[in-house]
Amino acid sequence: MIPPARTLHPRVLLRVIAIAIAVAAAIDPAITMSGATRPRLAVVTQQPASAAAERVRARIIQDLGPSHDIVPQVTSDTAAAIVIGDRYPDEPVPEHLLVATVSTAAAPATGVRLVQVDAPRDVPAATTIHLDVDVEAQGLAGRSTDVTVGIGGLEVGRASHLWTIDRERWRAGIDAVPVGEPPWVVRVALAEAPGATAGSRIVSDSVVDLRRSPFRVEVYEPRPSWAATFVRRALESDARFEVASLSSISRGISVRTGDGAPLSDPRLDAADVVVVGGLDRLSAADVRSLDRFMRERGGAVALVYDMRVNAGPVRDLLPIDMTERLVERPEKLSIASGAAPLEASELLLLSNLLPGSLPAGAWATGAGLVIAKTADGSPVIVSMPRGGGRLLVSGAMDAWRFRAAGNNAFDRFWQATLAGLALAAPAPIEISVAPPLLRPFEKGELTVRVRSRARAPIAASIDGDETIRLRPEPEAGLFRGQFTARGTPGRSTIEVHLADSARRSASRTVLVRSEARRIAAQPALSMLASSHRGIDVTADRVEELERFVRGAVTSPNADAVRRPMRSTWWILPLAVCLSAEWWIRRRRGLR
Amino acid sequence: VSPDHRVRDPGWSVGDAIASVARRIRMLALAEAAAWGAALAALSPAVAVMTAVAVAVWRWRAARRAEIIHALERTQPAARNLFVTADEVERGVLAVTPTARERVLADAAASVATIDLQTMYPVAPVMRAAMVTCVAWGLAGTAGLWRGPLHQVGSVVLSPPASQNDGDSQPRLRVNVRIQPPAYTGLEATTSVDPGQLRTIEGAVAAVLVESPAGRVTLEHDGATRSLERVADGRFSGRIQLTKTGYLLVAADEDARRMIPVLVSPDALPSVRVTTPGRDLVYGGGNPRIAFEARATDDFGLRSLALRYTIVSGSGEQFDFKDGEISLTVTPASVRDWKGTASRSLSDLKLKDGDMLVYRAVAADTRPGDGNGSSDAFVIEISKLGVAAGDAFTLPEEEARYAVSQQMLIVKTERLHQRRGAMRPVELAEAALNLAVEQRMIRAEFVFMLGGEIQDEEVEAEQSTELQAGRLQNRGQRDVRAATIAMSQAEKHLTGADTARALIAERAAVTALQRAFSRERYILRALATQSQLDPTRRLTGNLSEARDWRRSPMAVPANRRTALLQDLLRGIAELSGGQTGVRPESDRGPGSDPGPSPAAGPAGAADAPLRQRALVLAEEAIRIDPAAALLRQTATELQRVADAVADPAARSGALAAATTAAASEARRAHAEPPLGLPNVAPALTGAFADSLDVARRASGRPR
Repeated sequence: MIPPARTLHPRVLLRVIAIAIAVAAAIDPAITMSGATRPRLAVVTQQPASAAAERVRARIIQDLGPSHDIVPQVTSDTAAAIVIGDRYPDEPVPEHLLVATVSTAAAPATGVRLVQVDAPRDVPAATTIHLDVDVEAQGLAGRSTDVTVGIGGLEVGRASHLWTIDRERWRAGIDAVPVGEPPWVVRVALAEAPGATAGSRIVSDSVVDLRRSPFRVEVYEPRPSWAATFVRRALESDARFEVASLSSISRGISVRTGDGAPLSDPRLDAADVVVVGGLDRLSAADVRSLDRFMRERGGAVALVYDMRVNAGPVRDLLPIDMTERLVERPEKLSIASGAAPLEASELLLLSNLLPGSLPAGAWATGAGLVIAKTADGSPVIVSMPRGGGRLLVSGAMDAWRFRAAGNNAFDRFWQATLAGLALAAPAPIEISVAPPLLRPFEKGELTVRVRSRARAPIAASIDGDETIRLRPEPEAGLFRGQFTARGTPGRSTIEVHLADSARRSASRTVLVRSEARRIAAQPALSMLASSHRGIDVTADRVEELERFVRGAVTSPNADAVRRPMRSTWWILPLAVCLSAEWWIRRRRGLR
Repeated sequence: VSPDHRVRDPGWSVGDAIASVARRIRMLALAEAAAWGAALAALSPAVAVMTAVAVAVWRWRAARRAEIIHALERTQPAARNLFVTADEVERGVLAVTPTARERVLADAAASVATIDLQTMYPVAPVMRAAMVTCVAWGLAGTAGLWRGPLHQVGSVVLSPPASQNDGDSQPRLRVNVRIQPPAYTGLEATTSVDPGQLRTIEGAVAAVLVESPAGRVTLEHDGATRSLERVADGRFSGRIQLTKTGYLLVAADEDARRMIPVLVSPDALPSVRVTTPGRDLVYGGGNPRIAFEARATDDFGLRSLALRYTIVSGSGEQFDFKDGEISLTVTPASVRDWKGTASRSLSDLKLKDGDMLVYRAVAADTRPGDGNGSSDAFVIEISKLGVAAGDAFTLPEEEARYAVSQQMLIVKTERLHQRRGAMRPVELAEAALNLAVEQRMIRAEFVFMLGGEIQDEEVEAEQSTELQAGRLQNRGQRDVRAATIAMSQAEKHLTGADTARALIAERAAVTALQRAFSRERYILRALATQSQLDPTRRLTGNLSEARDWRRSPMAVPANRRTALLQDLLRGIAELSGGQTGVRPESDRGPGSDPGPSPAAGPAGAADAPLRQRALVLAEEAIRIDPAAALLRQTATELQRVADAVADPAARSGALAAATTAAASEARRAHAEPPLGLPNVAPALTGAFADSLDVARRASGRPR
């Protein structure tokens, strides 16, 4: 006998469904799903935003919104960013982030402008001031531009350039003589500036102060060396240098000039530059002292070779390779500064300065600077950073023999080169002011760098009666502060006192001029795109940017974990099931 | 109608007489005023007008009625107030009866008719004034004869006191310079007025004539100041002989100065060369005839051309020198280009074997004193052994073993080189070795000439370094030493039987010898000495006395030229500021406001007149270094600034030119700028370089 088939009553079914929903909600199961996601895109508009920037932003959101998750700021999970504006942002941007930019700055009209003026902060007495001026021209091919340098109202330097292509940048090197009392306000102006309008960048003021202290140089020779001796003589004939020397002429016998001290003597730190000859006799202790002098003192060391040294402690100072070249006739070495060439017939060619070879015509490679090179481009005299200081290596071994050539080019070269090294060596207390030329009541930023690592109270004041609050920076020995310039044109003096055992102090004159002209050397927004793998477009080329973003920022297939029971909508079927089940039972008279 | 005639008119009344007198007085007053005005106009028109007016007003007072009545009374004391009474009666002031009235008037008319008005009011004052006028204008007209041209006097003396600017626009000095070059140059004199710069030849005479209203004018020439004498035409005169580049500074008073840079070119010495034979000659004997030809040129003219010689006889320490001169037959192509020829035989010159004649052509230009130019020296040598030497050189002296010349050695080496293919190696080596010995002998001769034995090749090379270092400046010694080095190389190659390379070295030695003996040969022979070493002093020092010592470098003088040029530039800047009214703000003191420049620098007080400041700067520029062309140009342009104070455009142009020239000269005097080093975050770049170095060391790259 076949048992009668049992039919599933709707009441039971509804009860089962309701119970299932409740149980599932209690379990709250997680479900992993795989599929494409919308990349998050930050569209940042620099404030204050121009109308053009807002239009660009609206269009990007309209075009990319359906396919991207648009956010107004860069967040940690943004896949890319689009920055709309006219300047490099002040806020840091994550290095790994892909950034495209829309430059809304007005396209440079036809004309010429000053891009940058590089002026030294200090120059010694009786020394010309070298200025490097970057000038950019648009649409001036075939025309020429004059750059003038004025000090004290006099035109003391001028350079001219003929533009050959439509958009061109020209770097002019101009030597000017100081006029009047230091600090000197050096005004660089474009004498011929077609297309210039009011507010155009055609005039820039820089401040150059006088270095009153002499360049302190110590010449150290473990053995007598003609190469170092003639460098010393060149410096001794220049009143800007204060030369001390220590030369070992025999075992235990030395010749001393001035305050010449052994390399291990702490007094060595009083020197800005140490010139070393007789390098084959340098001891390991000497090398350690020189290394310390560069790294801790921040001084410069000039190694003057007179013979090839294949081994010995000095090799530990040289991260370079050397190849000896002897030629019949002296070879003329071209100088980076454009000065008269040196001559030498015994050369050490320096190579492997940094990874990669020196490009043709280049004077700098990485952190190294080629100061003199042969006609085929082989470096002979180079300078490179060493800790906080610099190391100069001269492979012009017998240049001293030809020192009379080129109107004493040998002397002039070493005087200029070692003066540059000495200027780069930090003083015990260095004071810098930004901007160096202030307008009345303008706020200036004071930066004080103390060479000593010893902790000591430091105080700064302006004009002797107004204290400047200095705050320490994370970098050791670095302090910053702010001050307000005087209300009338004139000079103010900033004094910094260090309450250490030596009670050292330093001062700097600050010029305040109502008609100060300066150009902001701010990087362009396009550099942000260049440094973050993106592209830079103008406002009329947004489609190009959108294509780039669509191609560069893909929608990734991601595994998404979902918990469906967390949806509140489950309440509805649960309630429906329970209500229906109750209604059926009531219709049948059940409880 | 004359007043005198009216006085005699019968119907003439006292009133008529008074009116007539008044007219005369007024006419005389006007005439006298005009005369005095004309007289003073010779000095100053304004003073003349004022004087004329004053005279006219003063004289006009006498035409008043009361004055005339009193004058009539004074003229006719017998009238006893008759004219006063008649006047009062006529004017109705005095009430009288008609009879009395007629009586009084009639008496007065009769009395006045007797008065001579020419006596009463004479024309003498007018005539006196006219005479003064004539004298004044006579003096003014002849002022050029006794004090200078009229226009100059007029511009300074007769003009009204000028304002400062007006005064600046008027040149206070007119300097007329006549340059008379030396007579021998044949150049004509040149004259210039207020020259910006003078260019002339050495020895020229500058005749300076200065027109100035001042009483004393001085002329400064290269620091020496003297007063100029006034000559008959009123100008100041002086003469200066110009011997070197410098300046002339004419000064009349504090604000009347003129700086004139002077560029003096020296008269070049004659350029002389021996064209025939034009080389050294060696004769083994005989009596050949030698033709000499020499050419000389000069920039202004030649005076003489001759061949001078010295005959060197003897040997060792017994040399004998005899000087002489060979007259040349001169054929002048022009006064500035001469050619001389002569011909002599050896017997004419009395040369014998072993003698050497050193000769050179000497020319003198037309300047007074020593203006001789000399050619290179050449040698005629009489040596049987030295004939084969050709153009090369060796000592002609006693030992025959030294008589083999470098040139002969080359010939021998060439022959050996040609035959070497046919020779056995042993024979070749032996022959080459013999030549090497000969080469060494010749070399020893020259080493002896240089004053010492050099056996070590490295020592020789070091001495070569010494030569290049400039310690041995004698070019002849340098070349001889180069020859000895080449000889050493030749000797080495010959020792190795490498005749090809030996030939190259031998020829290099000959080339060096030829260079050495073009001019300095004679000197070398005379100065050849041998240093003697004292072997007894060897190892005699006391080592214990060796000790440290301290070297005291020479004090470096301050760069005075740079300081002076900076001072000059500062003065020009202040001058520019004074011109434009803008003062460099960087020059203001602490807390100062824009305003006039401080009285600092060479320009002196900022309030000083522009012209004077420019003159002072011009003077400073030329005093810094008169020989510097840019400073002379600066001085000239600043003088133009002073001259063009009334012409802003010309003044600005001259000031800009002066600035450019001074700045260029200052740039030369200043030291070159220090080398620019990249100084961006030095600590970070140092760390970067260290990291690269560590990576390189880790990769094991060779050094």
